[in-house]
Amino acid sequence: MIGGRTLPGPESRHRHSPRVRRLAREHGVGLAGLTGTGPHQRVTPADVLRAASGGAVLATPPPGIAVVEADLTRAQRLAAARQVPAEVPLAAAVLAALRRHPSLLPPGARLHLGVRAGGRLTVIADAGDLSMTGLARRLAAPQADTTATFTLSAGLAGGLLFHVPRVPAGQVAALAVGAAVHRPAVVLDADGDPVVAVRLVCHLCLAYDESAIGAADAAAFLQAVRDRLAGTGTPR
Amino acid sequence: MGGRGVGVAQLTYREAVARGIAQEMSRDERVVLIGEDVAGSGGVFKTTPGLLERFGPTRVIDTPIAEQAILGAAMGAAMTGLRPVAEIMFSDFFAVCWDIVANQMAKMRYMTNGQVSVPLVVRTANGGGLRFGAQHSQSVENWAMSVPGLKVVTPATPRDVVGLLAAAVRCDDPVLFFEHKGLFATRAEVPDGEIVDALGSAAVRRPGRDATVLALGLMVPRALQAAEQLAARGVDVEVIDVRSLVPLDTRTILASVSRTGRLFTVEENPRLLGWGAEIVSIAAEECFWDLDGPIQRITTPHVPLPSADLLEDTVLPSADLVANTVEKALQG
Amino acid sequence: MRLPLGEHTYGAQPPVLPPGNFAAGDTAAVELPVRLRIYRTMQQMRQLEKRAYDLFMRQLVKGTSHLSLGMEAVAAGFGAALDPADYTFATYRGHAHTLARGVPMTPVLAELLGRGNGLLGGKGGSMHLTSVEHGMMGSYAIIGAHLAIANGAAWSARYRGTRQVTVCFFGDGTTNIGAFHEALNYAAVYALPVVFVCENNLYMEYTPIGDVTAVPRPAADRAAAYGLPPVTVDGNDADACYLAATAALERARDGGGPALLEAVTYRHGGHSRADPGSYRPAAEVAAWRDYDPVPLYRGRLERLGVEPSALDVIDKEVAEAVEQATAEAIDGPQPDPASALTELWADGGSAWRN
Repeated sequence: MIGGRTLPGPESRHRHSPRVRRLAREHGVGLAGLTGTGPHQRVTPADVLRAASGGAVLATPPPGIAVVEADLTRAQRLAAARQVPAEVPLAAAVLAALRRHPSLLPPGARLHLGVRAGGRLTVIADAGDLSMTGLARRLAAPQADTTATFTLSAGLAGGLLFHVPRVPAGQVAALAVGAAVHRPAVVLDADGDPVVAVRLVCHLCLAYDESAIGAADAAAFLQAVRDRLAGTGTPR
Repeated sequence: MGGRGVGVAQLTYREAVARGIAQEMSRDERVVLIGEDVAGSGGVFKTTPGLLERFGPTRVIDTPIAEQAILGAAMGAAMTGLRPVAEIMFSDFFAVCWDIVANQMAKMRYMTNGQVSVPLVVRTANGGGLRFGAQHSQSVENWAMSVPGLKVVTPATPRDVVGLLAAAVRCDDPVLFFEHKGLFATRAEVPDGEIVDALGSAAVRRPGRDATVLALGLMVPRALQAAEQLAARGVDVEVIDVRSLVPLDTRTILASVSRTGRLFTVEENPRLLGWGAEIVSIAAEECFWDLDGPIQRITTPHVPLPSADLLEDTVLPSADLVANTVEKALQG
Repeated sequence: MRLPLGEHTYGAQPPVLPPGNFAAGDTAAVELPVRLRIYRTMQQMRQLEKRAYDLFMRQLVKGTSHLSLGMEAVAAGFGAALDPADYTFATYRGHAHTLARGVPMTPVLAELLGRGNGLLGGKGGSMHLTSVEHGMMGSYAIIGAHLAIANGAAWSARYRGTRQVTVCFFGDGTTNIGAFHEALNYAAVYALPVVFVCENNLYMEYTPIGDVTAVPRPAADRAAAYGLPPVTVDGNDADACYLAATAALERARDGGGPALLEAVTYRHGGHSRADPGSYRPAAEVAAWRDYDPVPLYRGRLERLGVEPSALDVIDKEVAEAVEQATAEAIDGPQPDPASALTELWADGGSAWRN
């Protein structure tokens, strides 16, 4: 019993949904005579997109992009103090943000963090609870084959502000860290007054599958990474 | 926990109520608690034990059975410097004092053009499933949603009980806080220390791709169970715990609907004008071109709740009903 | 079964007549400066309410209004007894109680006219006059509700350790509604510093109160049910009201708990603007018009040696103030349409979603 309603009758199964009609409009696809692959041969959104690309198997649509500037000064200090590679505080910040924003992982997936640095990819399986020391250890002596569910790339931007990472198949988002440079920046001194200081800054670029992740989620995740690096993020 | 030493404890939902009230009462001496049997006996649902002992008889008060007097006193005190938390034992009893809620608390600030504030919380045990019969089992948060001037929240987890209660107490507007009596015994992790959540934010309890399922209160765990059943059948649904009816987190809800294209609500209110009716009308208007199929509300039918266990279980939406309804809809 | 309209035709009930000897109250222990203040306040109430009536007849006041014409002595007598920090709660018949707390006339009239310079910005209207800065904590349009709310203000004062007292005015009809009984019991149980004042004008809207009340004195005969002594006072003798008020207020201020007072009075007009009041026997109306609190009080002051010319000066000053307030109200701006969506929440807005 669903509150006494009856479900729509069979004739409605062959109507085009608003989403299908919108996609058809946006992509200039004629719906008449289009064969549907949905239940009862209904035209699905995917059918429309397939027709729009000339019937070819749909390539992955271009990803959504979000970029934010991050202050790495504290992270660099931490890495030096604990004698770990620069990627370690970056990975820790990404893990903290992923715990708060699980929509950046494939649905139901465990947190296997892929770290691309120094020319190789290391996958840290079940990275969720690792401390910085643990992360450093796992990066140095990686375990055998696990597929990453989120990938962090560092050091690939060359001299560019940032580059857009590729989202590997099976993942829904990837983060790339751009070149770290020293820049003047406004910080608050011990009295809370703004002063100019030289900080190590970089750009973080997130590429994400827009059908899985909303722009607001992407932004919130990036901000969480940035805040964690700056030491202003909320502990979980 | 990232090595920061933040502890957690397993708390029941009812323990979380006392914890949330104590958190706010120890922070702000203007916060006081009144209601029937809340002080000496710790509440008929044992949601307020220990508070009298900890804060004393001037701040934790047992009242007569007089709902209009209780809420009237809370309102007058809130207008003149206190921040009361008043209890209405069973939410069905709101009907006894609905004038104070809907005509007085809700309207006073507006009518006086902002001269008066009414910073109070009315907590109540809402909802069915315990065979208490029709006059002790209804879910009435939809009544409150329909009155301009009231904020309305319904926590579904112990952690949210603490966080949303704190937010409600700190809010300067009248907040109706609907605890679910069917969830009092549920147990979950609650971090130590102060917890303050935000009103007006929904929580995605389970991300998914194929459909958006909105739920509230007792219906949240049932929707999550349904999601597990559906996952085994290859259907991946996103379950959102709406948590706050007013203010309403339309952003989170509509973002999900525009992604999945399918919307279902699971509502314990009787059919007509349950909380989901308003939300689906917003989605139908603002997400129309993202919908890939009809919106469906899964609700209790339009009857009072019967007392016999078989009958009550027949009418309250179950996990099976949700899973079967969603699966059938997506197949059709 | 007993049916009131089986015992008398509508409007033909036995008349209830006013007390006989107003002059006996001349010797009441009220100092002259207080009496002069009371007189001025009653004149303000009388003249303002008359002006409100005129403006309604000119269709400048919309909706409805409940006037206090004939009931000034209770409001003025109590008003003179209150401390500035005390709280007042009143019904929708609240214009006089608002003026009694020192709220200026212009915003009161402007609110009746629905102007932007009204006391409530045009958002509340005649029935909800409120001025928190003057301790006037609201006029309430649901019978009985504000008695329960008044308890909260009294509780708050006790909790915060102040000596504020809350005074709550209501009509005879209120004594039969549930909230009255809940509130009285609640106040008595917790010994709250609240004074409940029943302004018994003998009519529950269009029905004689005696036809629908189980006891002869609607408030006083209920007091014992809540452990309180019965107190009645001539509601048209402002000095009697003042003295009853000071006694009850002092007792409450010192922790003696609540009081329930019944002040018998009479309204000159109908229940509201729409009501010509034809359900009251002509002899009764005539007798009470002769027992008009304002000229009665003036007579007392003259008997006590106050120069009539001095009282004329007060009358004239009040008249000029009413003229000025009328002009400022009529010249007042229309409210900003955007204000219809403001001040629902404490943040000043009305948003229910993001």
